[in-house]
This record gives sequence, structure tokens and C-alpha cells, in this order.
Amino acid sequence: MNLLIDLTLLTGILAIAATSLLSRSLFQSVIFFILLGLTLALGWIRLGAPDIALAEAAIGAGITGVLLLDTLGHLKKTGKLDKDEHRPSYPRLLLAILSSVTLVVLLLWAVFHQPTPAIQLHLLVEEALPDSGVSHQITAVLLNFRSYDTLLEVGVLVLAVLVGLALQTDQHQQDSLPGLPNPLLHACLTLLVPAMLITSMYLLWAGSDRPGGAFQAGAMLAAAFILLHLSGIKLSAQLSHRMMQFGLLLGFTVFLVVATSSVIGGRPLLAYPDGGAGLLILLIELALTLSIGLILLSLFTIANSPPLSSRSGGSNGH
Amino acid sequence: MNMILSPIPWLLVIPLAGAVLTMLIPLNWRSPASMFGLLTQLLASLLLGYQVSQYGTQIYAMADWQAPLGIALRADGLATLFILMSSLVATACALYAHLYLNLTKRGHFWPLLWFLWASLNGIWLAADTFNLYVGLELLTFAAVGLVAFASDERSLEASIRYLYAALLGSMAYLLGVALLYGAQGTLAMDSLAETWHWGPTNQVAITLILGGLLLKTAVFPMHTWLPPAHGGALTPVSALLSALVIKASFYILLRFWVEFEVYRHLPSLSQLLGVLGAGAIIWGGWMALKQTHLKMVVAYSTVAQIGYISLMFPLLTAENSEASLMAYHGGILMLLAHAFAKAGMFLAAGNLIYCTGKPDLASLAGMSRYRPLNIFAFGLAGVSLMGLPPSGGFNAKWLLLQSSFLSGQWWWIVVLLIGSLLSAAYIFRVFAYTYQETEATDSFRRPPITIELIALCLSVASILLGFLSIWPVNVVSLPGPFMEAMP
Repeated sequence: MNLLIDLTLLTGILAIAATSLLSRSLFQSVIFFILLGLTLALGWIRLGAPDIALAEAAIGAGITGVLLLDTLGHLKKTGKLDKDEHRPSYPRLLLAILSSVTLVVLLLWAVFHQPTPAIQLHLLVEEALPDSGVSHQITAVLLNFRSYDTLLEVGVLVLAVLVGLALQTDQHQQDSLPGLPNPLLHACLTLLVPAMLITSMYLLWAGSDRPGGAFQAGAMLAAAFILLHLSGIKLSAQLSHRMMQFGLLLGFTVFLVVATSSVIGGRPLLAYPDGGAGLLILLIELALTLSIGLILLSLFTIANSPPLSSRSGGSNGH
Repeated sequence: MNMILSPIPWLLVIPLAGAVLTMLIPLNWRSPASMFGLLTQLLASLLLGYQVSQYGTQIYAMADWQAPLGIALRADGLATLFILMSSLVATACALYAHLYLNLTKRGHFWPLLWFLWASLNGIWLAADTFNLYVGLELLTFAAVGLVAFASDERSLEASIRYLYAALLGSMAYLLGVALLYGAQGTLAMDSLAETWHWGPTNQVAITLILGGLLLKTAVFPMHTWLPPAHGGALTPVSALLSALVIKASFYILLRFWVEFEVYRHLPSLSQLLGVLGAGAIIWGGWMALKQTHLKMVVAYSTVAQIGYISLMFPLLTAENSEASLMAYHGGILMLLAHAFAKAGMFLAAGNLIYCTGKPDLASLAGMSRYRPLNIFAFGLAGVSLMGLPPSGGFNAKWLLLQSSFLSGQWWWIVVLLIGSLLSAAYIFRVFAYTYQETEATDSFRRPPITIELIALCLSVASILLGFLSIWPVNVVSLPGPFMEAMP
């Protein structure tokens, strides 16, 4: 029975991926790409990796899908979507297929010859878990054992927004999404948004002892923000520019302050004080959730949001 | 040693804090705050240089978890030299940017620079393969942001192209790291090296990693993204990209190559890298000779110089340890000389374009008469790039030549000579344009003397390196896991 499920999933993933790649219509490609993210999430669950499944569903399918749809809408509106342009040119297509097939064959060969690892890292994780302040291995790895990587990754997210803001065009663009005047949507929102906020907080809280955590919670929060944005309730218009900026940077700042305070206290960077690990991790995750939610929202709205006040009148160089 | 006195965490915390602060504070405070940051970075790098030369390789366990469970940072001689190099070059470029950009542009430049700097320091100090990936990500986004920062249509296109190339490289690298982790159960460089065995998995992993890094370093023929990105960016950004950013992926490549003893097991790959390097030297030099825009000449010269640095790989052989050591010293010296000379040359080129207001070579007519100091800075950098004595570039080429003689690989000598002739040709071609005179009356803008001096300082540094070469050579030869893995 399980084998049947797996085989169906596997063929489904391959078929959906192929449809997404080969489809003539960009819209169809994007829809199938989102579907691919969701089926991949199911695949991860079958592999016993619910954390990755959550991330794939929230970020791979959800946020990426929304960003792609947004781009598509933008292209359509500005008339830059040329009907013939996305028709694949055959030499390129052939080259792409050839190189992906080579890559897949190489990877299969590599994976089938994979030796048993000499170092059993999960045993080390198991051993150190009681000292980590949380009882879920993945949260312990992300926010304690390898917290330095996570700190830099959050830096990458902040940087992505920063680059997005720097690329904003100087002229004030009209918001391209005037909000959908749909009474049914608004009625649903009153039910959906509180439920999403609660789910987000649950995911955050659950992270300490089961799958969940700041990234998934932040993605859920972003989904709620984007839904609100689409229905005309704009967070970026409600908050001042400075407040928004503060919110974007809050998670990274809190993380960095905690990291630095341990150096000042005479411990290595990012080492939590004895007994304080659990609380500090929760604090960092709370700040990260809010910031990740706002960062993902900003990436979505950046093309439409008003330009930074300071940018007006900025000429090139010198 | 007392944890609080170790400069290692501060080399990461200060740039990261600088990035956050310069995003939050008002525009006109951003430069003073950054100046303070520059100073602390220089001090921290010097302190690290002192500690490493006194007490040897420093290991720093992040969050107090030892590798392989946690992430270790490692400051050996090689890492320390790169920290010092990036601090000096980035400080010069930052000062230049402060004088060159207007207030608004400057305000947005600082956070990107600080992120760039944090990622560079992170990469130099990393001793963990996944941590290196995160560092590369941060570096890529900061660099792409800086290229796009010129915000004209051409630089946007160049930055998108750059982004795609860099992301493809990162993905290949990440895939390789995942395979390594699957095969060996660890991400730390030291424990990977201890348990390394050349099965099919590791071979595929290394191929993917090397491929990704070669693309990110813009080694010929994967260089096509580089000239538009480096040539189209604003001047201080071009200097940073050519002098430092491409060195990061090269540095990782070198670490993998030596620490996992790739040279011993895949000697044919060394020759392939040498051939690519030779291709880069000749193609880059030839293309530089054909450009009509000044900054594009300098950008193609970077392609060629990457080729010289890659010649290090075929000369690092298991058979001849003396020749290998010479090649290692020559390659590192070449890299260092290129960092200073190319930064100086880009800044000098930017100054010339500032004067004429036009980016093309033909409008340089009369420049030798009008800005002799600036032409001098350009020329000194050119001396090092051509490899004329006395300069860092000359010593580096000399070591590479000797290494080729010693290991009996005479064909690289031919390549080195052709390359030198080509670089002489494209640099003298630029000079020829500056000595021309036109009928029309000059309408040049006068640049502030300070930005000319910054360019001159960097060029002088590349010449001085010719006299002080022994110092970096000693630093990179300090004992550590890297030197133990050398042939």
C-alpha cells in the first residue's frame, strides 16, 4: 500500500514538473510549479522530514508561487509579456535537457555508491540535546548548535529586502493592486486571518519540541499579511516607513544583540548563558517570526510600495 | 586565551552591526558611523595578524559547540592574509565611495558594503563547508545589490545576469556539499579531510563543487557574466568586485583543492584547470585589447588575471614539493598584487571617466597633460599587472615561471610570456589614447585630489609588494592544517 502511495507520488512529481517546464502558457507553468511545491511537501512527509515539508509548502509553494504570480501580473500589465518569447528555442532546450539528464545520472551514481558515513552526527546531536534549551533536534541545530549559519541566513533575508528597496524605481508608481472589492473575500478574511495568526504562533511555539519554528511561522504570518494586502488592507500604508524598517530588522537585530552580549560576557559568540538558552531561543524566534513575515511581505509589495522618501532627487553617482 | 580579546568575533559582529545601523540611522550620520567601523575593522585585522603570527593558527568554536557538531572558525596564515588584504582594499574603496557618491547614494552604499565585508570575513575564517555556502549567499546578494546600485538599465541587466550565474554556481556547490555530508556525515573541513575517501560519491561531489566555484570565479570560458557586471558598476563597486569578491570563491576552491588533496588524486583535473587558465590569459588579454570603453578594458584584464592565478593549480603537484610551494607562493602573491593593482586601476579609470564625462577610450585625449598624477596611478597599477619589475606582479610571475621550470612544465612559461605581452599591449593602448591631442578645446571636470590619491595609494601598494613580498609569503606558510596537506 505504502509502495503504491510512493509510486503515485513519484510519478505525480515528475509529471507535474514536466508539465510546468514544457507548458506553453506561463500562467499554467506557474500554477503547476505551485502544485509541484505541494506534492514535493507530501514527498518530504513520506521521507519523514515534516520540517522540510512545512518549509517547502510555505516558502517553496506559497511565497514563491505568490511572487511568481505577482511578476506575471506585472508583466501583463506593462505589456512586456511577449507571447512568442517564452516559446523554447530548440538548441537551448536540447542543451538544457542534456545537461539535466547528465546531472541526474551523475547524482544517481553518486547516491547509489554512497558509503556509510564515518561520523554519526545525529548521535552527537542526541547527546548534546539536553544542554540545548529545546527538545526538538532541528530547532536545537538551527538556533543553538549551528546558530551562526542561521544568523547569516537571516542576514541574507534582510539583504534581499535591502537590495529590493535599493532597486525601487525613483518615480512614484501607483499601487498595482487596488484591492479586490469582493464581499465574500472580506467575510472569509475575518475568519481566516485570526486562524492564520493563531496557526503562526502555534508553529512558533511548537518549534521547541516538534516540527515548526520561526521560518514556518514567519511564512504563515506573511501569508496572512499578503492576504490582507490583496484585499486592500495595506500594512505598509498603516505603518510609517520607519516602523516598517524597524520591523524588518527586528529579528536580525535581536539575534545579533544576543550573539554579541555573549562575547561581552566572556563567552564565545552566540553561546547562551547557562540555563538561559530556552528563553533566549524563544525570544529570538519571536522576533524572527515577525521580521520574516514582514520581509516576505515586503518582497511581495516592493514593486508597488512607494519609494523611500530619502531616494527622491537622488541622481547618479559623484 | 581570553575570549573577549580575540578579534575573530569582532571581525564578524562589527560589519553585521554596521549593516543594521547604517540602515536605521539618518543619511548624514551613516558615513561618520562607517568611518568608525572602518577603523575598528583595521584594528581587529591587525590584531588578528599579530596573534596568528605569535601564537599560530587560532580555532574559534562558535556558540561554544566544538566541530563537527557546531561550527568552528579557523584563522590560519592564509585566512589572516586575506583578512588583512580585504580590510586594506575595502577601506580604500570605502573612503573613495564616501568622496565619490552623493549623500543619498552613499547612504544606500554603506549597508551593502558592510554586508559584503561581513560575508568576506566569514568566508576567510570559515572551516565548515555549509557555512561557506551561507557566506557565498551573503556575498552574492551584496555584490549583486552593489552592481544594480548604479540603477541604469545596463547595470540592471548585468546584475541579473550576474545573479543567475552566481546562483547556479551556489546551487552546484550546495549539491556537492550535500553529497559530501551524505557520504561522510560531517560538514566540518577538518573532519571531512580526516575521513576522506575517493569513492564515486566524493568524486561527483568534488566535481560539482569545483564547477560551481569556477563559475563564480569567472574562470574562462565561464567568464561572460563578469565584464558587463564589473565594467558597468559604479567605480568603487567595480574595484571591490574585481579586487575582492571573485577572490572569495577562488579561496574556497584553493582550500578544497589542497585540504582534501584533490591535486594528488585528480592530476588530470589540474591540467584542465591550467588549460582554462591559459585560455583566460589569452582570451581576456585579446578582448581587453579590442574594447572601446575604458572600464571594459580593465574588466577584461581581470578575466586574464584570474587565468594567471589559476596557473597555480597545474603546478601544485604531488611529485615536486619545491615547485608546488613556489607555485602556491606565486599564486597567492599574484592574487594579492592583483587585489591592490586592480582596485587602484579601476579607481584611476573611474577618475579619468569623471574628468571626461564619457566612458570611451577616444575621449581620453589630452588626459596625460591634464591629470598626470592619475595617469601615473593607472600606470603603476599597469606595471604590476604586466609583471614588470619591481612590483608584486613581477615577483609572482617570477615564482610561477620558476615553478614551471622546476616541474618541467615548460608550456606554462609560453603562456605566461604571451600573457605579459598582451597585458603590456592593452595597457599601452590606453596610454596612447591619453597622449593624443584633439583640436577641440578641453572641457574636463576637475576631480578632488583626495580620490586621485586613494587610487595612487593602492597602485603604490601593488609596487611596494614587490619589495615586501617575503612578508605575505611567510604569513601564508605558517603551519596549520592547510600547510600540512600541501605536497
